[in-house]
Amino acid sequence: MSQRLASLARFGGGLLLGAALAAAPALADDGARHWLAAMNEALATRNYQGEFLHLANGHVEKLRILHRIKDGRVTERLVNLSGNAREIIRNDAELQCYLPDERKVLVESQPQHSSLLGTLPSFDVSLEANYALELGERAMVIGRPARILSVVPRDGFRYGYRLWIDEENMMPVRTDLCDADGHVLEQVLFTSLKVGGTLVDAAFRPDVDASGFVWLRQGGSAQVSLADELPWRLVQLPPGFKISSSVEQRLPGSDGLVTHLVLSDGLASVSVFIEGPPSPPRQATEGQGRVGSAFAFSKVIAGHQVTAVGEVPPQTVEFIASGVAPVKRRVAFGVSVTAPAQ
Amino acid sequence: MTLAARVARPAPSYAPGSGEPESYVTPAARPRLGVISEGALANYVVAHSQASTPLASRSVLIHLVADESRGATQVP
Repeated sequence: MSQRLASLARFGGGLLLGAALAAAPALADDGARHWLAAMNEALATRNYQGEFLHLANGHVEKLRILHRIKDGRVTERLVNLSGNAREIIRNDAELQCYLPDERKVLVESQPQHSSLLGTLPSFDVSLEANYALELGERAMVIGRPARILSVVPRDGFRYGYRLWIDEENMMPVRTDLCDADGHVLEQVLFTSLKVGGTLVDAAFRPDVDASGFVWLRQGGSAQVSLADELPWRLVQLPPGFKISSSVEQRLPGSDGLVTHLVLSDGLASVSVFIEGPPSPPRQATEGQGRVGSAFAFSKVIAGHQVTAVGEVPPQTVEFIASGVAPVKRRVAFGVSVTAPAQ
Repeated sequence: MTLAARVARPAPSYAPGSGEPESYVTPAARPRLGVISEGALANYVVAHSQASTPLASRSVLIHLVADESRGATQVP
């Protein structure tokens, strides 16, 4: 598991969208700035619990979320109420994903040195080049007035968002993920949301009895050199994407250390995993995979398994994975020189 | 190039009326490639969620918890 970031901010802030957009106001109009700032303030300072519908790919799921900030520490729990009893519990130490239908628990440790604000995207001119931020009309959600805020992608390499911000408590009560043409790919719609109040520790214990489950704990990871020193390079990237971090880590099922590059345009993210050839019975893979609206594309490059995963259109992960190439190193006059592979 | 060299590889003969060759050369086998397994996808998704921006993290984790994630699918 990776070691970046306080995933707390990612999860709750991400679910309700606030943190990611919080820094955007500088380039948005005054109205958008106001709504973003207010929403971020609400997300950063309040406890909340609620139930929401998640609609995607013709499926509807009902989930519950609990989010608590106590003594500056965030704890969150996400539970599927629709049948499979899967749930995720996250605190500042680790993320636990309970998969009772597979009788296993995925665990990812959180870095001790990370900060809640460590990897929040910075919204600047480069982000504005790829997204437009627009304040829309007033609308009703679950019987309450809200304002619509849109993040519109400027090309087909990324998705956009529309969110409905409750006028009273400033929480985003509906979020749509949209493609570049504005088609809704998935939707998060709160059916109930309580803001404020106290959430006790017991509320963050899993309902699942994990006795006998297989616990898959991702190994520690280490920050590795920046991209210009890596033995790999990316010969093609969609506009606005750049490498934001790189680590070496162990993933369950992998034979050795995996190089994990993270690319971001400031809002969307793509992970690139580069690992050595698998030992039998595992075999090299090639092709696409999909988890909801997140796509993966895997191929073998220079004897290594390269897999790109991200909440972006399928053509984006394929484009990025196909652009991974080894860097050849040569020795000239006793000095190691790095040169692009041909 | 000699004539012998040029004809060293005989043209396929065809069974009368079938439209099919009587013999053919099997193409060299290519390394067999698998598809991304559901388990591997889940591992990638969890690792990605911890490295990604809040928005991306939100979606992939919801999908992981949602029933439909059991159908982590291979795209042909």
